[in-house]
Amino acid sequence: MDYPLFLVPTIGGGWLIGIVAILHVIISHFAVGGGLLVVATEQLAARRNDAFRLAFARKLSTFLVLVSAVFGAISGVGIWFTIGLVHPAATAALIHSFVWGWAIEWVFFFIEIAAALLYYGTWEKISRRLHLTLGWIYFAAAYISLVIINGIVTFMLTPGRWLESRLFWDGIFNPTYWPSLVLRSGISLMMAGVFAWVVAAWLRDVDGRRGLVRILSGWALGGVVLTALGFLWWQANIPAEAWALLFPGGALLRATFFLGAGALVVLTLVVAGIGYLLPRGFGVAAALLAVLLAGTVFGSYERMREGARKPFVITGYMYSNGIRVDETERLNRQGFLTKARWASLGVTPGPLAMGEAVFRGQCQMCHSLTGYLAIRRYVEGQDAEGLTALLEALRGGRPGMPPIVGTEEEITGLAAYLAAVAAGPAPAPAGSTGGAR
Amino acid sequence: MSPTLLPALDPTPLPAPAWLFHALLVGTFFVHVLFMNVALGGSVIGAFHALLGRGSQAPGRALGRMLLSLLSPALAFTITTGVAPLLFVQLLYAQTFYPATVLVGWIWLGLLAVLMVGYYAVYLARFEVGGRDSAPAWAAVTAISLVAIALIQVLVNVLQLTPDRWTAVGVRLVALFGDPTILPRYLHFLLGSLAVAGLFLAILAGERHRKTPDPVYPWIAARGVRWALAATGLQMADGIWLLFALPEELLRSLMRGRFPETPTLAIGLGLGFLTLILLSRTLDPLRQRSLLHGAAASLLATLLAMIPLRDMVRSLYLAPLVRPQGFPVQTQADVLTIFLLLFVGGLATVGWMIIRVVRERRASA
Repeated sequence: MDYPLFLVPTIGGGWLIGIVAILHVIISHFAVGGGLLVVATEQLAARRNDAFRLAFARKLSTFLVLVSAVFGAISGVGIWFTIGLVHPAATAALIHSFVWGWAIEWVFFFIEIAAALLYYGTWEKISRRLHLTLGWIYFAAAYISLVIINGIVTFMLTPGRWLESRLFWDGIFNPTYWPSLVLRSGISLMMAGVFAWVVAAWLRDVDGRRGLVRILSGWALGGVVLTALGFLWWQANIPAEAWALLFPGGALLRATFFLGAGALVVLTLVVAGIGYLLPRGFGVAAALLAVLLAGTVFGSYERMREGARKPFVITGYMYSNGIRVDETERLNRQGFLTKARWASLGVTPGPLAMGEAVFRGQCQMCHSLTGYLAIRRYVEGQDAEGLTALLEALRGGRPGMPPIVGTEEEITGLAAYLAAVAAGPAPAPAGSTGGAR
Repeated sequence: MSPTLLPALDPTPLPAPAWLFHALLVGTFFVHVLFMNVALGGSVIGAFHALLGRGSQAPGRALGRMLLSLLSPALAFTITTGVAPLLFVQLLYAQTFYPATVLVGWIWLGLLAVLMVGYYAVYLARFEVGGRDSAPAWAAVTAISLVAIALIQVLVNVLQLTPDRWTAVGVRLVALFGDPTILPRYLHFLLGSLAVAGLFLAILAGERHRKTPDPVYPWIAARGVRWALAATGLQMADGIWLLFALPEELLRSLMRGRFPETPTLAIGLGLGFLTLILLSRTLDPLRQRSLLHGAAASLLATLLAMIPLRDMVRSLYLAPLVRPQGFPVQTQADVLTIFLLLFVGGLATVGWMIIRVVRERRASA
């Protein structure tokens, strides 16, 4: 690709994005559902003059601000930072297409943070009516942020008509937009329910909190149902190749699929069991277990959504190694290294060196030499001739992997380099150390 | 740099003319700088006085507490308002922004870890985690974190502007410091923050004194003015250092009557001097309110000149490699209109919320 490569040792760049993104979305979805929960609780408690639940709503708002306004905001910037480092070409493409979407989302983010801080800082200091208005503004802004970002996130897997029209609205309202919105709305409620369990677990009035825990369990279970329905709708709208990566035996993401589904079932049992049948089992441990399970459900979905895009980073437009679909023919004719200039830096002339540069620019975003998705494992025992034939066959791609691109000379060089990798200790470069190349 | 290392521009056209994105970049960055200055300068001033203050009744501690209550919203809005310029700079300067950040990727990511530590330290201080006397130490953690972030920002920004250093930095990270503008830029950053935060503190102390008179407020206001005066005075010297540390060709462009760069520089310098004069005459900030407010207005106007100048200097640095004005454009009028309406509506909503809260709190007080 055109940019220098950011190498992440051991786990690879994809997982770095995954970790930062999953942590962020757990918190950001809690911010949405929690916003609704806290203001609805305040409204109902104020109407019934229920001091206990008002105190709970206040505690929940403190927790919400501490978690979402600090960690949520910084990890949100963290996603920008990590995708820019790992996938600069894809990030640039997304920004060129959806800058107004992000700009609109930013307006609501700004309102959300302002409303959250005002809401949190003005308990019992302003009229109830104004306080509730601030709370509802906070929730509305947070939810609209989700409504907008959902369009950009789903676009990457199912760009739909945008591929032909390049129109903003075609990209936003793509085939998985509505299913994903239902799913994410469900996740927001689910996250609100389980995080509110954590806050409720610290309440001292054990008898008083029982009714509250039942209500919170209802939020979480409502969220679980909506999440499951949204997922079924979502999976019916993703491309067949993407579904093939998720479910059938031996599929790349099958374990993740079952992990998510299993966690959803266990979460349902834990929330329903403790919330309604065994209230004595409620406490900090149960609440943290529920958070862990809900996080696993959501994390698994996010991993599946990201993984199901393979071999693309933007389906039908850009491969996961930063090569655009529409430039493969040119690169086959003129040479991949005409694009991947950074990859050739510091490489001495010769076919082996050319192969190393091709590996850096085209393969190393996903494969290290001996660590994460180690290339040596795939090429062991093969010589240059056999590898040339294999690479030529891979010009047509394979499930989950972009097609190999380049001139014959570059492919031969890559084969020579991989044969050297297969033969013994890695020839000096990349893969095992961090940093940029 | 070998010009071939500059990544190709993404082929998707800009969805509005580049000048509009430039205006949004500069405008949102200006707002970001205001909050950032209060957060950075405020954390340093607050930590300094809180650590020097002996006993919880010491005026330095009161100053620290006052700034502490401001730091969480200041940081929240520093981050929130920072997202917008981050978006627009990636749109207009992807070709230099991404290579520079990738080359120092772990340091760039480390910025967020440091920010997280500094931000949570504010709450740890507010909730007095670690005892009643722990707040000054937490404030120092925040100040050190933000001062470190400022350095990372300067290093990355200068690297974006100097593609000819990319290969050297890729080979040896220490080359990151190898530009003569880094130290004066960093000082420019820190001194500007101290000046803005000092003046903000003085005005705030004055306002609070008017509502609830307390002998600590005149002390705080006087310290605020002193910080602002000292920082602005040093800024004058540092600004000249920075100017002459710029590449010769760029300096020539700035000094030889180039429009709009030279007049903007002249206006910025003039306003900086005016701020210095006004501050030096503000001996009793609570009684000389108009002088104090005049200094604040002058400092704000200086920033209004200097922030666009910073953008002009970036263009000069990167010309002719990157020229956003020459990018292909295909305006998406419908989305643009929606954005502009929502932008205005969003600002109005935030303004309305703040006004309503302030009015109700005043009425109840």
